[in-house]
Amino acid sequence: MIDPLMTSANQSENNPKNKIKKIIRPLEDLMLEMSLKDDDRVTALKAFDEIIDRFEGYLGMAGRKALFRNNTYDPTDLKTLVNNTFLHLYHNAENLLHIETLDTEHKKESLIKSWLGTVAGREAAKINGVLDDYYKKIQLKDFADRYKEPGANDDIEDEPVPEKIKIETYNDEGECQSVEINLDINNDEGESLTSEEMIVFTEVLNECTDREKEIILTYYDYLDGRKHLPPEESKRLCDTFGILPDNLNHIKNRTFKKIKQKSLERMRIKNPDYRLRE
Amino acid sequence: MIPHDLTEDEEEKISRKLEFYLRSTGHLFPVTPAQVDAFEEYMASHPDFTPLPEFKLSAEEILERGYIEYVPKAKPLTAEDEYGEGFKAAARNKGDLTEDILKKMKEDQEKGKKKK
Repeated sequence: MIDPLMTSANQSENNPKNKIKKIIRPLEDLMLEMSLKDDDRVTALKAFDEIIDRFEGYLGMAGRKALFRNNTYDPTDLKTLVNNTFLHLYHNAENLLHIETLDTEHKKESLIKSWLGTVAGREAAKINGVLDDYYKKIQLKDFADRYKEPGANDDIEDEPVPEKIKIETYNDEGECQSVEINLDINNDEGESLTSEEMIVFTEVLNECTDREKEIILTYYDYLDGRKHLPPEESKRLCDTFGILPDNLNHIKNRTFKKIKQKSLERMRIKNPDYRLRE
Repeated sequence: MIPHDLTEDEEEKISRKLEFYLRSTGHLFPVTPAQVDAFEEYMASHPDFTPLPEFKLSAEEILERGYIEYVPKAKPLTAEDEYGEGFKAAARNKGDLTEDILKKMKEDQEKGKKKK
Protein backbone atom coordinates (compact mmCIF):
# COMPACT_ATOMS: atom_id res chain seq x y z
CA MET A 1 0.00 0.00 0.00
CA ILE A 2 1.31 3.44 -0.86
CA ASP A 3 2.13 5.46 2.18
CA PRO A 4 1.20 9.02 1.30
CA LEU A 5 2.98 10.41 4.30
CA MET A 6 6.32 8.86 3.72
CA THR A 7 6.97 10.22 0.24
CA SER A 8 8.38 13.56 1.22
CA ALA A 9 8.59 13.13 4.97
CA ASN A 10 11.88 11.32 4.76
CA GLN A 11 13.59 14.29 3.24
CA SER A 12 14.85 15.27 6.65
CA GLU A 13 16.84 18.27 5.45
CA ASN A 14 13.64 19.89 4.34
CA ASN A 15 11.91 19.23 7.60
CA PRO A 16 12.08 22.42 9.67
CA LYS A 17 11.66 20.39 12.84
CA ASN A 18 15.13 18.98 12.32
CA LYS A 19 16.71 22.39 12.09
CA ILE A 20 15.32 24.41 14.98
CA LYS A 21 14.85 23.54 18.57
CA LYS A 22 11.68 25.38 19.44
CA ILE A 23 10.87 27.31 22.55
CA ILE A 24 7.49 26.43 24.04
CA ARG A 25 5.20 29.40 23.62
CA PRO A 26 1.66 30.01 24.90
CA LEU A 27 -0.91 28.12 22.87
CA GLU A 28 -3.09 31.14 22.23
CA ASP A 29 -0.14 32.89 20.58
CA LEU A 30 0.31 29.94 18.26
CA MET A 31 -3.40 29.88 17.44
CA LEU A 32 -3.33 33.60 16.73
CA GLU A 33 -0.35 33.28 14.42
CA MET A 34 -2.00 30.41 12.55
CA SER A 35 -5.24 32.32 12.26
CA LEU A 36 -3.32 35.16 10.57
CA LYS A 37 -2.00 32.82 7.91
CA ASP A 38 -3.30 34.98 5.09
CA ASP A 39 -1.19 37.91 6.30
CA ASP A 40 1.98 36.12 7.36
CA ARG A 41 2.32 32.61 6.08
CA VAL A 42 5.88 32.05 7.32
CA THR A 43 4.99 32.83 10.94
CA ALA A 44 1.82 30.75 10.64
CA LEU A 45 3.84 27.78 9.41
CA LYS A 46 6.28 28.07 12.29
CA ALA A 47 3.40 28.15 14.75
CA PHE A 48 1.81 25.15 13.03
CA ASP A 49 5.09 23.25 13.29
CA GLU A 50 5.18 23.91 17.01
CA ILE A 51 1.59 22.75 17.39
CA ILE A 52 2.41 19.55 15.50
CA ASP A 53 5.42 18.98 17.75
CA ARG A 54 3.33 19.39 20.86
CA PHE A 55 0.31 17.32 19.86
CA GLU A 56 1.37 14.62 17.39
CA GLY A 57 2.43 12.24 20.18
CA TYR A 58 -0.94 12.58 21.87
CA LEU A 59 -2.93 12.31 18.66
CA GLY A 60 -0.91 9.31 17.50
CA MET A 61 -1.43 7.54 20.81
CA ALA A 62 -5.16 8.27 21.03
CA GLY A 63 -5.58 7.43 17.35
CA ARG A 64 -3.85 4.10 17.61
CA LYS A 65 -5.86 3.09 20.68
CA ALA A 66 -9.13 4.03 18.98
CA LEU A 67 -8.29 2.39 15.64
CA PHE A 68 -6.94 -0.77 17.22
CA ARG A 69 -10.28 -1.86 18.54
CA ASN A 70 -11.67 -3.76 15.59
CA ASN A 71 -8.50 -5.52 14.49
CA THR A 72 -8.30 -3.54 11.30
CA TYR A 73 -5.55 -1.26 12.51
CA ASP A 74 -3.36 -0.03 9.72
CA PRO A 75 -0.49 2.41 10.42
CA THR A 76 -1.18 4.12 7.09
CA ASP A 77 -4.72 4.93 8.22
CA LEU A 78 -3.35 6.33 11.45
CA LYS A 79 -0.89 8.57 9.65
CA THR A 80 -3.61 9.74 7.29
CA LEU A 81 -5.89 10.46 10.22
CA VAL A 82 -3.19 12.46 12.01
CA ASN A 83 -2.37 14.39 8.83
CA ASN A 84 -6.01 15.26 8.15
CA THR A 85 -6.78 16.18 11.74
CA PHE A 86 -3.87 18.64 11.87
CA LEU A 87 -4.95 20.07 8.55
CA HIS A 88 -8.39 20.80 10.03
CA LEU A 89 -6.73 22.43 13.01
CA TYR A 90 -4.64 24.71 10.81
CA HIS A 91 -7.66 25.85 8.86
CA ASN A 92 -9.75 26.36 12.01
CA ALA A 93 -7.16 28.01 14.26
CA GLU A 94 -9.23 31.18 14.55
CA ASN A 95 -11.95 29.10 16.18
CA LEU A 96 -9.64 28.21 19.03
CA LEU A 97 -8.58 31.72 20.02
CA HIS A 98 -10.90 31.53 23.00
CA ILE A 99 -8.50 29.24 24.80
CA GLU A 100 -6.93 32.40 26.16
CA THR A 101 -9.85 32.73 28.55
CA LEU A 102 -8.70 29.57 30.32
CA ASP A 103 -6.36 30.21 33.21
CA THR A 104 -3.72 27.52 32.85
CA GLU A 105 -1.68 26.15 29.98
CA HIS A 106 -2.76 22.66 30.99
CA LYS A 107 -6.45 23.51 30.54
CA LYS A 108 -5.72 25.07 27.17
CA GLU A 109 -3.81 22.00 26.10
CA SER A 110 -6.61 19.68 27.25
CA LEU A 111 -9.15 21.72 25.35
CA ILE A 112 -7.13 21.53 22.15
CA LYS A 113 -6.70 17.79 22.65
CA SER A 114 -10.44 17.40 23.07
CA TRP A 115 -10.97 19.37 19.85
CA LEU A 116 -8.46 17.14 18.08
CA GLY A 117 -10.25 14.07 19.49
CA THR A 118 -13.61 15.28 18.21
CA VAL A 119 -12.24 15.85 14.73
CA ALA A 120 -10.19 12.66 14.74
CA GLY A 121 -13.29 10.67 15.72
CA ARG A 122 -15.06 11.94 12.61
CA GLU A 123 -12.03 11.11 10.51
CA ALA A 124 -11.82 7.62 12.00
CA ALA A 125 -15.40 6.90 11.00
CA LYS A 126 -14.47 7.65 7.41
CA ILE A 127 -11.87 4.89 7.48
CA ASN A 128 -14.58 2.30 7.94
CA GLY A 129 -17.45 3.67 6.03
CA VAL A 130 -16.45 6.71 3.99
CA LEU A 131 -19.27 8.67 5.53
CA ASP A 132 -18.88 12.03 3.88
CA ASP A 133 -22.56 12.33 3.10
CA TYR A 134 -23.48 11.59 6.69
CA TYR A 135 -21.09 14.18 8.00
CA LYS A 136 -22.51 16.78 5.68
CA LYS A 137 -25.69 16.33 7.68
CA ILE A 138 -24.02 16.58 11.06
CA GLN A 139 -23.63 20.12 12.15
CA LEU A 140 -20.65 19.60 14.35
CA LYS A 141 -20.05 23.21 15.05
CA ASP A 142 -16.58 24.63 15.15
CA PHE A 143 -15.24 25.64 18.48
CA ALA A 144 -15.98 29.27 17.78
CA ASP A 145 -19.65 28.39 17.61
CA ARG A 146 -19.31 26.36 20.72
CA TYR A 147 -18.31 29.47 22.60
CA LYS A 148 -20.13 32.21 20.79
CA GLU A 149 -23.79 32.93 20.76
CA PRO A 150 -24.98 33.89 17.28
CA GLY A 151 -24.26 37.55 16.68
CA ALA A 152 -21.73 37.82 19.50
CA ASN A 153 -19.10 40.44 18.86
CA ASP A 154 -15.45 39.67 18.47
CA ASP A 155 -14.39 40.99 21.82
CA ILE A 156 -13.55 37.56 23.10
CA GLU A 157 -12.05 38.70 26.38
CA ASP A 158 -15.44 39.79 27.61
CA GLU A 159 -17.11 36.53 26.77
CA PRO A 160 -17.38 33.94 29.48
CA VAL A 161 -16.48 30.40 28.52
CA PRO A 162 -19.60 28.29 28.82
CA GLU A 163 -19.47 25.07 30.80
CA LYS A 164 -21.26 23.08 28.14
CA ILE A 165 -21.69 23.15 24.42
CA LYS A 166 -24.38 21.71 22.27
CA ILE A 167 -23.71 19.64 19.19
CA GLU A 168 -26.61 19.20 16.84
CA THR A 169 -27.15 16.09 14.78
CA TYR A 170 -29.88 14.76 12.57
CA ASN A 171 -31.30 11.27 12.80
CA ASP A 172 -32.42 9.12 9.88
CA GLU A 173 -35.80 10.82 9.83
CA GLY A 174 -34.14 14.20 9.53
CA GLU A 175 -35.11 15.25 13.05
CA CYS A 176 -32.67 17.56 14.76
CA GLN A 177 -31.25 16.27 18.03
CA SER A 178 -28.74 17.96 20.24
CA VAL A 179 -26.17 16.54 22.58
CA GLU A 180 -24.46 18.44 25.36
CA ILE A 181 -20.76 18.15 25.94
CA ASN A 182 -19.18 19.24 29.17
CA LEU A 183 -16.29 21.62 28.61
CA ASP A 184 -15.57 22.72 32.13
CA ILE A 185 -12.53 20.83 33.27
CA ASN A 186 -13.34 21.54 36.92
CA ASN A 187 -16.88 20.32 36.70
CA ASP A 188 -16.90 16.56 37.05
CA GLU A 189 -20.62 16.03 36.62
CA GLY A 190 -20.66 12.50 35.24
CA GLU A 191 -17.10 13.12 34.16
CA SER A 192 -15.04 11.06 36.53
CA LEU A 193 -14.79 7.46 37.61
CA THR A 194 -13.64 5.86 40.83
CA SER A 195 -11.06 3.10 40.58
CA GLU A 196 -13.80 0.65 41.58
CA GLU A 197 -15.94 1.76 38.65
CA MET A 198 -12.98 1.46 36.31
CA ILE A 199 -12.37 -2.13 37.43
CA VAL A 200 -16.02 -3.11 37.09
CA PHE A 201 -16.39 -1.63 33.60
CA THR A 202 -13.19 -3.35 32.52
CA GLU A 203 -14.45 -6.71 33.81
CA VAL A 204 -17.86 -6.32 32.24
CA LEU A 205 -16.48 -5.18 28.88
CA ASN A 206 -14.06 -8.10 28.86
CA GLU A 207 -17.02 -10.45 29.16
CA CYS A 208 -18.59 -9.05 25.98
CA THR A 209 -17.93 -10.71 22.66
CA ASP A 210 -15.99 -8.86 19.95
CA ARG A 211 -19.26 -8.41 18.09
CA GLU A 212 -21.00 -6.85 21.06
CA LYS A 213 -18.07 -4.55 21.76
CA GLU A 214 -17.76 -3.35 18.18
CA ILE A 215 -21.49 -2.68 17.95
CA ILE A 216 -21.67 -0.57 21.08
CA LEU A 217 -18.46 1.29 20.28
CA THR A 218 -19.80 2.10 16.85
CA TYR A 219 -22.97 3.45 18.42
CA TYR A 220 -20.88 5.62 20.73
CA ASP A 221 -18.95 6.85 17.71
CA TYR A 222 -22.15 8.56 16.72
CA LEU A 223 -22.11 10.82 19.73
CA ASP A 224 -23.99 9.31 22.62
CA GLY A 225 -24.76 5.72 21.82
CA ARG A 226 -28.48 6.17 21.35
CA LYS A 227 -28.71 7.79 17.96
CA HIS A 228 -29.54 6.01 14.77
CA LEU A 229 -26.53 4.81 12.88
CA PRO A 230 -26.02 6.08 9.36
CA PRO A 231 -27.13 3.41 6.86
CA GLU A 232 -23.56 2.80 5.60
CA GLU A 233 -22.38 2.05 9.11
CA SER A 234 -25.32 -0.27 9.84
CA LYS A 235 -24.57 -2.13 6.63
CA ARG A 236 -20.90 -2.45 7.55
CA LEU A 237 -21.74 -3.98 10.92
CA CYS A 238 -24.34 -6.32 9.39
CA ASP A 239 -21.88 -7.45 6.69
CA THR A 240 -19.02 -7.85 9.15
CA PHE A 241 -20.98 -9.98 11.58
CA GLY A 242 -23.42 -11.62 9.16
CA ILE A 243 -26.53 -10.28 10.86
CA LEU A 244 -29.75 -8.63 9.75
CA PRO A 245 -30.48 -4.96 10.51
CA ASP A 246 -33.24 -5.92 12.95
CA ASN A 247 -30.83 -8.16 14.80
CA LEU A 248 -28.27 -5.38 14.95
CA ASN A 249 -30.67 -3.19 16.84
CA HIS A 250 -31.65 -6.05 19.09
CA ILE A 251 -28.01 -6.93 19.89
CA LYS A 252 -27.22 -3.28 20.60
CA ASN A 253 -30.13 -2.88 23.04
CA ARG A 254 -29.40 -6.19 24.73
CA THR A 255 -25.69 -5.42 25.09
CA PHE A 256 -26.23 -1.95 26.50
CA LYS A 257 -28.73 -3.31 29.00
CA LYS A 258 -26.43 -6.16 29.98
CA ILE A 259 -23.42 -3.90 30.50
CA LYS A 260 -25.32 -1.35 32.52
CA GLN A 261 -27.12 -3.88 34.70
CA LYS A 262 -24.04 -5.99 35.34
CA SER A 263 -21.92 -2.96 36.11
CA LEU A 264 -24.36 -1.54 38.59
CA GLU A 265 -24.88 -4.88 40.30
CA ARG A 266 -21.16 -5.52 40.63
CA MET A 267 -20.52 -2.06 41.98
CA ARG A 268 -23.17 -2.73 44.61
CA ILE A 269 -21.67 -6.09 45.45
CA LYS A 270 -18.27 -4.47 45.97
CA ASN A 271 -19.79 -1.61 47.88
CA PRO A 272 -23.37 -2.06 49.21
CA ASP A 273 -23.61 1.70 49.76
CA TYR A 274 -22.70 2.43 46.17
CA ARG A 275 -24.71 5.25 44.65
CA LEU A 276 -24.48 6.67 41.17
CA ARG A 277 -23.16 10.12 41.79
CA GLU A 278 -24.52 13.17 40.05
CA MET B 1 -28.24 -10.32 43.60
CA ILE B 2 -31.36 -10.33 41.45
CA PRO B 3 -31.02 -8.23 38.30
CA HIS B 4 -33.43 -5.35 38.28
CA ASP B 5 -34.55 -3.01 35.56
CA LEU B 6 -32.69 0.26 35.78
CA THR B 7 -34.63 3.41 36.42
CA GLU B 8 -34.43 6.13 33.79
CA ASP B 9 -32.18 8.14 36.05
CA GLU B 10 -29.82 5.22 36.71
CA GLU B 11 -29.83 4.40 33.03
CA GLU B 12 -28.74 7.90 32.10
CA LYS B 13 -26.05 8.18 34.74
CA ILE B 14 -24.52 4.83 33.99
CA SER B 15 -24.61 5.59 30.27
CA ARG B 16 -22.54 8.69 30.90
CA LYS B 17 -20.13 6.74 33.05
CA LEU B 18 -19.78 4.02 30.45
CA GLU B 19 -19.03 6.55 27.76
CA PHE B 20 -16.53 8.26 30.03
CA TYR B 21 -14.89 4.88 30.65
CA LEU B 22 -14.68 4.10 26.93
CA ARG B 23 -13.21 7.49 26.10
CA SER B 24 -10.80 7.65 29.01
CA THR B 25 -9.40 4.21 28.25
CA GLY B 26 -8.91 4.96 24.56
CA HIS B 27 -11.61 2.71 23.08
CA LEU B 28 -12.99 5.94 21.67
CA PHE B 29 -11.37 9.35 21.20
CA PRO B 30 -11.58 11.54 24.30
CA VAL B 31 -13.69 14.56 23.36
CA THR B 32 -13.84 16.64 26.54
CA PRO B 33 -11.00 18.06 28.62
CA ALA B 34 -11.94 15.80 31.55
CA GLN B 35 -11.81 12.74 29.29
CA VAL B 36 -8.46 13.87 27.89
CA ASP B 37 -6.99 14.16 31.38
CA ALA B 38 -8.39 10.78 32.43
CA PHE B 39 -7.07 9.18 29.23
CA GLU B 40 -3.58 10.55 29.78
CA GLU B 41 -3.61 9.36 33.37
CA TYR B 42 -4.78 5.92 32.19
CA MET B 43 -2.06 5.72 29.54
CA ALA B 44 0.58 6.68 32.08
CA SER B 45 -0.34 3.65 34.17
CA HIS B 46 -0.96 1.36 31.17
CA PRO B 47 1.95 2.14 28.87
CA ASP B 48 1.61 0.91 25.32
CA PHE B 49 4.91 -0.58 24.19
CA THR B 50 4.01 -0.96 20.54
CA PRO B 51 6.00 1.76 18.79
CA LEU B 52 3.97 4.39 17.03
CA PRO B 53 4.60 4.79 13.32
CA GLU B 54 7.13 7.50 12.69
CA PHE B 55 5.12 10.46 11.51
CA LYS B 56 7.83 13.00 10.66
CA LEU B 57 5.14 15.52 9.99
CA SER B 58 5.89 19.11 9.25
CA ALA B 59 3.57 22.02 8.61
CA GLU B 60 4.75 22.51 5.07
CA GLU B 61 4.35 18.86 4.16
CA ILE B 62 0.85 18.63 5.60
CA LEU B 63 -0.27 21.67 3.64
CA GLU B 64 1.45 20.42 0.52
CA ARG B 65 -0.27 17.05 0.72
CA GLY B 66 -3.60 18.53 1.70
CA TYR B 67 -6.46 16.30 2.68
CA ILE B 68 -5.69 12.63 2.09
CA GLU B 69 -8.56 10.37 1.13
CA TYR B 70 -8.77 7.09 3.02
CA VAL B 71 -8.11 3.93 1.06
CA PRO B 72 -11.20 1.72 1.24
CA LYS B 73 -10.53 -1.57 2.96
CA ALA B 74 -10.30 -4.60 0.71
CA LYS B 75 -13.05 -7.13 1.25
CA PRO B 76 -13.04 -10.77 0.18
CA LEU B 77 -13.97 -10.99 -3.49
CA THR B 78 -17.01 -12.90 -4.63
CA ALA B 79 -17.52 -14.15 -8.17
CA GLU B 80 -19.91 -11.27 -8.67
CA ASP B 81 -17.32 -8.73 -7.56
CA GLU B 82 -14.66 -10.31 -9.68
CA TYR B 83 -16.46 -10.76 -12.96
CA GLY B 84 -19.13 -8.14 -12.49
CA GLU B 85 -22.51 -7.72 -14.05
CA GLY B 86 -21.32 -8.97 -17.48
CA PHE B 87 -20.83 -12.46 -16.13
CA LYS B 88 -24.32 -12.62 -14.69
CA ALA B 89 -25.84 -11.24 -17.87
CA ALA B 90 -24.03 -13.81 -19.98
CA ALA B 91 -25.28 -16.60 -17.74
CA ARG B 92 -28.85 -15.30 -17.88
CA ASN B 93 -28.95 -14.76 -21.61
CA LYS B 94 -26.71 -17.63 -22.59
CA GLY B 95 -24.77 -14.99 -24.46
CA ASP B 96 -21.10 -14.56 -25.08
CA LEU B 97 -18.76 -13.56 -22.34
CA THR B 98 -17.00 -10.26 -22.81
CA GLU B 99 -13.33 -10.17 -23.73
CA ASP B 100 -12.38 -8.84 -20.31
CA ILE B 101 -14.07 -11.73 -18.56
CA LEU B 102 -12.56 -14.30 -20.92
CA LYS B 103 -9.12 -12.81 -20.36
CA LYS B 104 -9.58 -12.88 -16.60
CA MET B 105 -10.79 -16.50 -16.70
CA LYS B 106 -7.80 -17.49 -18.79
CA GLU B 107 -5.43 -15.80 -16.36
CA ASP B 108 -7.09 -17.61 -13.46
CA GLN B 109 -6.77 -20.95 -15.24
CA GLU B 110 -3.07 -20.35 -15.86
CA LYS B 111 -2.54 -19.37 -12.25
CA GLY B 112 -4.27 -22.61 -11.23
CA LYS B 113 -2.03 -24.69 -13.49
CA LYS B 114 1.10 -23.08 -12.10
CA LYS B 115 0.05 -23.90 -8.56
CA LYS B 116 -0.29 -27.57 -9.47
